Amino acid sequence: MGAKIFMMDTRKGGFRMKRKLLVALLAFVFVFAVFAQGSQEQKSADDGNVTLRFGWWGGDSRHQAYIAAVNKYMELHPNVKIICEYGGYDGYREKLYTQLAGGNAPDIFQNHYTWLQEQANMSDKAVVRDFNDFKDIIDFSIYPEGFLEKNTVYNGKVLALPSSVNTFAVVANKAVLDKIGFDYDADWTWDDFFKFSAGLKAIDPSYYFENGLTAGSIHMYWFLDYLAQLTGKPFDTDYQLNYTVDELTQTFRFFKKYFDQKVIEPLGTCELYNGNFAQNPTWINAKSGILFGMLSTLENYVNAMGDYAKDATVIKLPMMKDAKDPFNKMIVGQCFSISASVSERNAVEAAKFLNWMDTNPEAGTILKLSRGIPVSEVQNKALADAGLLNPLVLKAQQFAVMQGQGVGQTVISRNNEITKIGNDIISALAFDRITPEEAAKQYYSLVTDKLAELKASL
Amino acid sequence: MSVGYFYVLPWLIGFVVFGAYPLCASLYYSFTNFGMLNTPKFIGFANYAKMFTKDREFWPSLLVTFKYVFLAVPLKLIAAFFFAMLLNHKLKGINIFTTVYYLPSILGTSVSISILWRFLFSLNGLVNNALGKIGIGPVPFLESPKYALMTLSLLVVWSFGSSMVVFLAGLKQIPKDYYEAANLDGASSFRTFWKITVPLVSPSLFFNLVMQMINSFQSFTSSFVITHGGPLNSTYLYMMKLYNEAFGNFKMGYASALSWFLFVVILIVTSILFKFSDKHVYYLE
Repeated sequence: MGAKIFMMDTRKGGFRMKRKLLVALLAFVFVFAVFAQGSQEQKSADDGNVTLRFGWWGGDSRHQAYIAAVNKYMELHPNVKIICEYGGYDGYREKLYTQLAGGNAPDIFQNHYTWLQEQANMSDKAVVRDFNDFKDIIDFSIYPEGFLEKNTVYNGKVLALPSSVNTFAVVANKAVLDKIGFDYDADWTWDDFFKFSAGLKAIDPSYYFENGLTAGSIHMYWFLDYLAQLTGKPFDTDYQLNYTVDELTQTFRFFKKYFDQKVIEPLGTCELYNGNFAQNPTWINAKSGILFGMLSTLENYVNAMGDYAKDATVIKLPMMKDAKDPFNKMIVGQCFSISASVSERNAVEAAKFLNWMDTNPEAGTILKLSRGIPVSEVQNKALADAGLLNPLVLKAQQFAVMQGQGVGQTVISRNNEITKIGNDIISALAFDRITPEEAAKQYYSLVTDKLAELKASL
Repeated sequence: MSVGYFYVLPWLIGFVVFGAYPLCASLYYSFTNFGMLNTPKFIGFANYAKMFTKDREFWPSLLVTFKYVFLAVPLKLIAAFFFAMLLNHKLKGINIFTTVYYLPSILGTSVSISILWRFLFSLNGLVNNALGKIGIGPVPFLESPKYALMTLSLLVVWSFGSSMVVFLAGLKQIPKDYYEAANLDGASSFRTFWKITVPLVSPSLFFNLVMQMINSFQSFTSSFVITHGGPLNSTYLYMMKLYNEAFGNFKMGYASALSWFLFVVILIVTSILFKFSDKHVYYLE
């Protein structure tokens, strides 16, 4: 009897019924897939307790600092429970956007000021909350005039709150650079890359002047920096590339020499440490002299030096003679958003937590400089009074201020597709597949087309 | 009859939620401009047209993937068959060796093994250290476009255990009478191998070939974790391209179209293999 239940019912009518059922099921699934919308409203319990999810990216020192800050906040607010979700930068954006699409992003999450434009334009419904809704909670006075408007306001809405400011910085290892008598406070030019590299190689060919970045990072930082200094122009204006083929050729000629003269390890080796440059054994074992980063990554880079950490210092960024623009500028460091799928109650508590984190002196001393320099002057003063201002971070900031405020990276220059074009062409240059002249023509053509495509998709 | 459906309901729910729904959803999205954060808008075949005419990475990544498949799959099958032949003997403790050779396939090409592979084959890695002791290298296994794809293929070859077990089962099923008869007729080992062993193990070979080919077309982890598609896009596999479009460029609609194209490619290749099997795969009655 049991076996009969599972036997195919081959009677004509019965078989047709099974097939109809299967087809109906598949059709239902297809229609459901088309019309299904994913959005979830979080519900808080009515007992006064609130649970928030808080996500960020960073290294170990930042994780420890934020966990300590969260624990302190929970101690002060026993009705609030905050669950920390953190990891490295690599893969963070992909995971975040997947969560945003699924309506289950953390209540509070670290955003990036260059992502806000696409979040505002790509989505036909709100992805993050407008902080204007929390004017009675957030102390907007800590932000310099125009700071929010230039960085985190789109369509009149404040999409993220900057927690810190950041800027480019270069960590140097004195254990390496002392060998060539490097002057750590002096200005230096792009051509000095070759002078210093040659000096180190004469001592030991296994030394590298710079701990290399990936091709994509070289494009995003050194390449754009060189072009801005050369031309005085940002990457784009209203989706129009600002650089000519000649200017690009000159830039690619510099980087051809940069690779040929082994200023960095072979690009293939550098690529293996994508997202973790400081984990490169060349840096850890003091075989490279400098490493490009940000104020917020200084601590991680120094920590990775291990026994050589005492030899860490910072130097200025390279600057062309008669540079038309310094490129570097103080930018938004960490910024945080509240997910639009959060309940109103959770959103209010999230705003309170963010305001505490960004303005409270004790929060400032707990977070130290793991996020960069705090925006809040009150927090900066608290750090200074507690002797917690990392001298290297301060020195790097001073160098940046000294060298002036430049055009910086535009939002589009950090677009994934633009970065991939830069990555591919710089890689081809490094591996001798194309000449600088060919690289310039290809770059100009591909980037121009891509910018037009991105503009059309708005 | 309805009781039967009740028993299969757990599987059916799982299939609908994790199988049929994503399948149908991705087919729908492939005809839209879905970008994760926006409402999908129907754009017809625009994604497919872009794939073949405008995307500069599409054909190179497909070519890299075909190279990877034609490198990794034969090598893996050869390794698996070789070790299965070695293990097809009644010796004391042979099962320990079978287990040891099977273990890597359990670990597979996971993230942790991929990270280990990177440490093994980097310029300062264990393999180059060993080669250095005999005066070779260092060899840029992962740093050079010439060697990177082959090095990633080795990771697949290393996990030959599951294929080996299938071969072993196939070898054990070959009747001993055939070998005895061949021996009596004075056939050499070489002739016996090619005229008896290979034809009669062809069903296992065919199964392994199809399964490994399908898996290899969908390879992603090793390329993503170890080389990120480099150097010089020499390991930019199709699945990395797909991932980059979906989660890097946030073009879920286009990524869905890419995934359906891959489905068609695998379907065509599998069909060709099945057609080929008519003449070259021998099933014992």
